[in-house]
Amino acid sequence: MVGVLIITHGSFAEALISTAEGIVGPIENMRSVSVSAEDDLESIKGAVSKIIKTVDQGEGVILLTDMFGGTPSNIGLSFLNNGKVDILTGVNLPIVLKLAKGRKGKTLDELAKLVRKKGRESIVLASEMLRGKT
Amino acid sequence: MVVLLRVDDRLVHGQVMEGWVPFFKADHIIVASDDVAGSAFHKQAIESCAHDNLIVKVAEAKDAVKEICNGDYDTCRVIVLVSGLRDALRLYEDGLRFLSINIGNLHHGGETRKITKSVYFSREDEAIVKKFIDLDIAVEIRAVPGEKSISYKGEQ
Repeated sequence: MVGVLIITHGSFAEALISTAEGIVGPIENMRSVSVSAEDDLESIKGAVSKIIKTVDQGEGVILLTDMFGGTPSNIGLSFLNNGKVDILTGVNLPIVLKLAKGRKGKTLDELAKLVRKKGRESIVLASEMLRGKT
Repeated sequence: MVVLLRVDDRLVHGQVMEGWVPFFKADHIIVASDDVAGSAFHKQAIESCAHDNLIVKVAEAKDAVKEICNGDYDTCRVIVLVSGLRDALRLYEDGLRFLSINIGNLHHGGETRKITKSVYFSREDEAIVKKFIDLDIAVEIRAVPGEKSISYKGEQ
């Protein structure tokens, strides 16, 4: 099973996991790292590196980050490794829920593209959606 | 014109993109770093933070100074980023002139002195900062525009 590590500013990552677990129950092989303004980059990279190793079961790891261009993403990018570690930015709750179940039997690449699609489709402007239906 | 010269070991990140760029209405970020300029991947990752109203460019320190002094950016609003004080001093020594320098995030391994929660000075940093102060360059410590500015006057 592909491992998941969520890296965000503040405690958002941790809250995403606990919120998702509140909805679907315990989630396997998913961890979080919080980045605060005062953290030293090298120590965060060390923590990320360690967790990647613990969630990697041989099928790769997907890193979810909050915002492209932010420190969590910048750190994530330094771990990009073709077929082994990929980074998806703009994490939201639907993405985490999608990854909570249904990771088995999918390659890292398939899964990454699937949840990117899921994440994008989950953003809806209600007035447009309702207009489209009537 | 250069609207901000900033020392930040995170280079382009949230505080810069969401804080300083809108604060100064900057249209350019120049990352002056020989290290980043020498790494195609790192350079591409940083430059892809550009958007419709913002150009992000990585350059070797000497090239950045040459282009700025040449007047290439006279009609632009430029934020110059360096990852450490040593690079900031290099810009000065290569001919860039500035009245103030902002320090946002600075960490090192080894022996350092805590200045604020996100800025730590090594002995070398202290010496460089002293040099700037002696040159009448204002040294400001501030992570984001909304935070209180700390004017650093040297080791007490």
